[in-house]
Amino acid sequence: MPTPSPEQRRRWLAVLVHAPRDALQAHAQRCLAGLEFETLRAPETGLVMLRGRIGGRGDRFNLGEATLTRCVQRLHGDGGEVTVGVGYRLGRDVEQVRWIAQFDALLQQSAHQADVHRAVIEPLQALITRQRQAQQLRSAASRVRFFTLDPQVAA
Amino acid sequence: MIGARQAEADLAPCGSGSVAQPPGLARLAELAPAMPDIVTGTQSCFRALLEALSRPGRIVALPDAARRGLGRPAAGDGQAFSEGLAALLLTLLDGETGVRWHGALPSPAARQWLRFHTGARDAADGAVAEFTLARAAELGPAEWCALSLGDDDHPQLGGTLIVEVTALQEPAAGQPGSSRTLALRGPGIAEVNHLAVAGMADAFWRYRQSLQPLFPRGFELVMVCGHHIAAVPRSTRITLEG
Repeated sequence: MPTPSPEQRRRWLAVLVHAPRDALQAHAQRCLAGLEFETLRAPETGLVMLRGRIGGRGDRFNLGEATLTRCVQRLHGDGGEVTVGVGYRLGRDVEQVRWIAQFDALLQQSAHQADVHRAVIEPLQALITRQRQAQQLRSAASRVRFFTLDPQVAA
Repeated sequence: MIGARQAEADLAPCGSGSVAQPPGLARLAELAPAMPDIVTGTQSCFRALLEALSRPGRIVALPDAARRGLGRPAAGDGQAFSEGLAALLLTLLDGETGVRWHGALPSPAARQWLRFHTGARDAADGAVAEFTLARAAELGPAEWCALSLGDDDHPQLGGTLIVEVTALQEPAAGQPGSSRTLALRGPGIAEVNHLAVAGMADAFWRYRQSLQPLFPRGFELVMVCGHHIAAVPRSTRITLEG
């Protein structure tokens, strides 16, 4: 498989970041166990400014600061392929961020990309989708319909 | 605070065969690491630097915590940065400090190493550079005259010059060596400290002497040789010997 596009990386990083901790841990223990990663930037926690848009014209404003942990890991693959993975995640869970960076490095290795995508990213994606749907179903049950705003009733 | 711009730099495509590299950036795949335990390493390096600055002319060895697993980038001529220089840069620089470096030191690999691990940027032309880096042989009048001295109201704006020298030695009193010997007097020194430095031009020391009446304006000088450092802060008075 060729070098992933930034769009592909963005997609699998989004899945890894949103994955529940225990599921990610299970995959990490299975897939990352025998691999030697080099730490370029050890997990470190800092603050990021969250910015939002406001008003009719979408002017920027500073919403507030959030805790963020980041990490950069390098992997020397079997075929001499060297890839660098990054993990950025809200919160201060250093282990989780290290797994994300390591999976990102592994997924960029052409020899492993397809396998890891199938074994890790797809199940995690399915799990996240299931959890989101369950959440949506729960909140849908409490939805209130305002008949007065319904155009047919009002007419 | 993690800067958004640095996050973008991390997320730029890397790895083998990638396209659209920002110009002048070596690839992350070849980037030298920093320190395995960055907090302990830089703290112990900072302690060593404090020791060197508070006893001008005394040579201080970097502790093992700052040297173990230390990654060093290669300069433009392929020679790696000295341990002392790499450790000092990791210790002192951050995203709010400007750097000006001269000669072979600023290779693309070294620039990226510094940018990635510290977030420091090159000082813009005409702007104040908090830190100036050079090798002794590549340090000329143009470089040392560009050092910021601060002004009487803001002496803290005076810069710091970090120089890689070829040899540093504390000579026994009255014993002339092959290198230029400095006699240092001032705060932190009981009477006089002697320090032999190889590779620095005499004109530099004369320039440094000419700044002595301007105190509190001036610059701090840190000399690095391998993993040894010695410092001459602006409060120290120099006379040349030997």
